[in-house]
Amino acid sequence: MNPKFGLLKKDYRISRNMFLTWGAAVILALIGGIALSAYWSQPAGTLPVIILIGLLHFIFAPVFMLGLLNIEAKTQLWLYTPRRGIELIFSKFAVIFTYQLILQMVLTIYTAINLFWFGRQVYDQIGMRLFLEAIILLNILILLFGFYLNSWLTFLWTVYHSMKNVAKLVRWITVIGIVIAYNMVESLLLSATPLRDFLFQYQINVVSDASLSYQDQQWRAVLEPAQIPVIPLLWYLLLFTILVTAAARLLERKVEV
Amino acid sequence: MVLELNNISKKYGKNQALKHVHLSFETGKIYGLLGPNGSGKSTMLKLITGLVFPDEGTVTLNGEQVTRKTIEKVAYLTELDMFYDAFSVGETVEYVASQFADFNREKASLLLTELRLEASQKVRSLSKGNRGRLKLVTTLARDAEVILLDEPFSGLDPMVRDSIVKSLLKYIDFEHQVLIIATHEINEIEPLLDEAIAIYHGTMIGRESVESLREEEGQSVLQWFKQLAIKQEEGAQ
Amino acid sequence: MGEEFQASKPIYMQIVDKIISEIAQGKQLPGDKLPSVREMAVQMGVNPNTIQRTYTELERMQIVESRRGQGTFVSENKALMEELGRNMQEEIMENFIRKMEEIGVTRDQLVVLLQSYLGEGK
Repeated sequence: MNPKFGLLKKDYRISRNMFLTWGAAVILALIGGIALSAYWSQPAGTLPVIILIGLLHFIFAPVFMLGLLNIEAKTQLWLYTPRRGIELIFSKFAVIFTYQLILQMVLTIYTAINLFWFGRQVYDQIGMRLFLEAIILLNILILLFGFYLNSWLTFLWTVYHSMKNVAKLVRWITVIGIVIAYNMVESLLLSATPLRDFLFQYQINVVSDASLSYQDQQWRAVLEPAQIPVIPLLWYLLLFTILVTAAARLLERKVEV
Repeated sequence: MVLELNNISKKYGKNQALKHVHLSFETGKIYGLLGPNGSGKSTMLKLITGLVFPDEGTVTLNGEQVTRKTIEKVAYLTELDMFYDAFSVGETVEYVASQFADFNREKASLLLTELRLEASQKVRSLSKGNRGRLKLVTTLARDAEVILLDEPFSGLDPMVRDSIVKSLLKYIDFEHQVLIIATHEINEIEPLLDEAIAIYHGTMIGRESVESLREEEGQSVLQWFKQLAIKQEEGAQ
Repeated sequence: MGEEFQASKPIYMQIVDKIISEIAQGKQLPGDKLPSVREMAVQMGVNPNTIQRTYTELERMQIVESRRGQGTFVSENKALMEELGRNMQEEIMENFIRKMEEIGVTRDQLVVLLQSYLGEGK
């Protein structure tokens, strides 16, 4: 077996139960959403469920990564291989990516069912084309954001575990310090108007703002377009690369078993 | 194959695990790293495998400095009970086989049969003895230049020990491999060793050929070790 | 481990003794093939280099001979084998007498004691 495939298989295997648990919880929530909405005769009741589950998947990747990393941290058995740090990390990313894709697919189908069938009287009716466009963009956005957070989590985890010889408190302070420092630098840069103007120069429209309004004794779901700036997206992509590369290096050179 | 530790020091917090250790190993021999628990033996093996890094000094294998990648050439059996619990025996072997190009499947299946392990058994439900055996299978099945065993017998009953010793002797390729065994059970390991290396509080306090100890000094390794340790304690006072 | 060894004597010599005693007891007959070094090491639970030394020593004592490409065989030299048996008898006897003398039994007493012991044994 190819070593990369071996890694993938291992990562899939050790996370399977975690995924099945999460998946079952999500499906229960979705079914519960329809059931309750039907019971109260308020079909728009599924919108909060969609939004909530959708939001939850912004943090799915980092939460899952933390779970996986902590399984490994018990033994650090994953480091007992000649694979490069980047391979070790991407193997986990790949497994989480497929999990997230499956979950988002389920949520997408659920949304479609609500929009076009279960809640068609109360949801703003948009065309199939627009829906597809919006939902694909939204899905990509959730994935991108999730993996951006994931790169931070992975980086911070490796920082924490690189300092095996240091007191726990100091390790935590370092990790939290890095986050605070980055955010301060970021907001400082954004406070400069010319830079902000440059960053937000290019925008794409996405139907992503959904809200509820109450009319004629019934909740209605309203869908509105929102805008996403392009340049920051590129910046985050770069940051993702930097963080993952740094994490891989730390994993190879600093994290001890 | 030449494996060398040059002036190695390693600290864990305030605890000095190893102090200025110089050592070299060559192919075809069985070495015993002997010393009480916590004397630095495990740290030494991890340094050789590239799983920890020295604070001072260098570890080299065939002249090249040891890195994470060195594990390609070094088969290391940890003293800890470490497995992916979700795996079966077969999946464990498959995983190790996928990671190491030198993994010898034929050896692995012979070893599995001899040590009476079933591929379908869940690692989680194995007895301690069988977990010890499984670790040994995945380590010995590799045609690696260096084989490191950390306390391979600890906590195992005499029957299991016996089967492990026999597998060791049967499957080590003395022409191409070196075997280094770290243990505090000196008497049990003595008949297996070519050379004994005494480690005490992170320092190497002695190194001798086992048979010449007996021939020239009339001492067993344990007697020799105790004498060295006493001398070391006296010197420290 | 396969075997227990005394603390002070080299292990290879202890195995030499063991093999000689097996030959004297007739467990290994002249012309028999000894296990290979590796097999013997596995059997005894000792380092193969130790067995190598054992075999070299046995060869030096002319108790075994190694035939190129075939292995190590117990010598077929009858006279030598008989001498080996006698040597062992002598060694055991010497040990016995020395120990009896150590606890104050004279040689004359020893003969009487032995006769009466063996007599009772019947």
